Amino acid sequence: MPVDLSLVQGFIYPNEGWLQWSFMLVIYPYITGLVAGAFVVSAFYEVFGNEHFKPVSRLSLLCSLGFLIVCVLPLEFHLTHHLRGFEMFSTPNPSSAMAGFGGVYLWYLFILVLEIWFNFREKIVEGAESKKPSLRRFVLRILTLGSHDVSEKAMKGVHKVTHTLAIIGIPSACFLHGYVGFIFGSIKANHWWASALMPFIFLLSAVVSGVAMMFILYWICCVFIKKEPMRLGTVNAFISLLFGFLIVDLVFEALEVLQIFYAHIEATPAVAALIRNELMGSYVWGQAIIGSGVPFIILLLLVWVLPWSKRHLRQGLMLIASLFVLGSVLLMRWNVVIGGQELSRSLLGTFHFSEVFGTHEGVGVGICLLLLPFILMIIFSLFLDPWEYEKKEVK
Amino acid sequence: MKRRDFIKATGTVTLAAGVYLTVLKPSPVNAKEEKDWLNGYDWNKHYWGFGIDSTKCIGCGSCVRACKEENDVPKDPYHFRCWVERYAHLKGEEKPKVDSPNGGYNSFPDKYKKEEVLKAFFVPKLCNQCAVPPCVQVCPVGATYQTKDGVVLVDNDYCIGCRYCISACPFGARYMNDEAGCADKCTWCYHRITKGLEPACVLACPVGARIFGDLKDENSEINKFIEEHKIITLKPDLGCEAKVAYVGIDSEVR
Repeated sequence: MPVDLSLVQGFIYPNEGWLQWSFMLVIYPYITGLVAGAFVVSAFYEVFGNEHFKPVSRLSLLCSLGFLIVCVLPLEFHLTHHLRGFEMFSTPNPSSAMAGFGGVYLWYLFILVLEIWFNFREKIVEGAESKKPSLRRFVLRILTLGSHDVSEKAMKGVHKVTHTLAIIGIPSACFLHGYVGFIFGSIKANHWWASALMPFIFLLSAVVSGVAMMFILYWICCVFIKKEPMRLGTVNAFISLLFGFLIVDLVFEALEVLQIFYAHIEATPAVAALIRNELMGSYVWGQAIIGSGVPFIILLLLVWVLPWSKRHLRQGLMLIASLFVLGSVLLMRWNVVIGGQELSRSLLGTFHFSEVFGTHEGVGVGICLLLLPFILMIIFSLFLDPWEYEKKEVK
Repeated sequence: MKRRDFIKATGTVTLAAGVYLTVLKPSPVNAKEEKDWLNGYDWNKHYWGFGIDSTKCIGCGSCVRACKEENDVPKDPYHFRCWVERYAHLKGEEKPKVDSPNGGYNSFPDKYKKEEVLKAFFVPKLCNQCAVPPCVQVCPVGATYQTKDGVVLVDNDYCIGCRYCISACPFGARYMNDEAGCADKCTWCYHRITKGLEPACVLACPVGARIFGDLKDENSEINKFIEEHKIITLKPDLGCEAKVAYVGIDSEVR
């Protein structure tokens, strides 16, 4: 997309007047991050046995799958040759970080689908053996892969496999999103991106966003779908998890910027100009002060000052904190992807990019893609029913 | 079919498809096609080099215009295979003023008329055909590649249009060819040099500021240029090993 050359500050290379990666590349790491984050929430129950996360464990898996399926779509929309997109999987260039993502993606998809299949085994067989003919029964019969054995012995094996897959899934999910950070961090041409800390920052912000999203989904499910109170233990577990990861995430993000300024490398004045000229609103105010500061203070209050507060207050404040975190992480992706391109590789100037709504790479399509995983999750839930199981357990 | 058999069969088919697609799939460019495409030109016998004598450049923009004509580069201010930058040190200013209006296509307006210019020079830019090219490294499908005679090219039949290479080029030498939907860049006029001709920009330069030749030929102009001058290359710290040799520019040029 061409940028307004009259808004260029300093000097940019002539070819840089055309922004190459727009909103699609902003939501690509955002969605991938939610995949990893949702899986981590599930793993807290499946692997570490934290019972507080049981109500959202299975939903997290379905949510993770929904986001995983959609996460390649922004890339696909971004390509000019959409039909050649599959070449990245079939004839990858082994030296390319982006091509490597194809392998990481397929591996994680494989693990996640297997994990879901084993995790929902009882549900699948139960639905397949339903006496009332329906589309759900038809689909679930296919999903049984011909085996209806849910005896105690068989289920013992299934639980073992589920646990093993969840263990394998944690590093896989972390690697998936850490790798997205590596795709940006390995571009040495761009001093706003080129950092060894980038994969860690991406990964930590992914977990933070995933935890926040799962809390919001848990709230929606309790209030609007199941119409039952949220469990205080689960709310508290979410508060602790979000607060813990948010602290580490903010420390790493601060360290990255501190490193650039303290080391005072060749790019430092240019990065300072970028923050001052182009990212004052979205980075300093949006991401750092409001997006991160507000939830940090809320969580600090909940953990430190108001540990005795009642469930309603805690869940309300946590909901606000989660919404701020989701907004902050989206802004973080924007500031990395768009901000990085607003800094000229000549290190002599910056320019301003205004997002557009209407194109196939615009905000409108982006919002649709951000909603699509939730639609997929609802469809998966209709077939695999993560709720009934949870209700039984809670009773 | 038992579940175990079904899983076995599915696994075998998936594995076989994976092996075929990633390992056994024949390359679409075979040796014969490659030979035909090069039309008898042997890229093993050449290794091309480029030099810029900034002390000679007058910023006329002939090279930019010739390049755009020769290579069908869009004539807007966003797409350039080669361009010219102006560095001007003004009295009272700590850092030089740098500009490149429309890439130097229409030459440079005398905008420092009222200032006291301490020093000024023009820097013609083009693809550095790096020896360790980051664009080749990052291309997810291998559409951009390095030829044996040292030039980096883009295969339009392969490029998927992800623009990773454009973001990875430290010199801003790449752009998106909207017509082909592929990344595009300076090729040192590969279609000309493989026929024994000079690149269009070299031919168009009225002052001989651009020097091109075969580094494998001991008597070539480029070898003489490198032997007779103290040269520098751009951004050596990035490890790309840029190959365009510059004379007469300050170290602040990036």
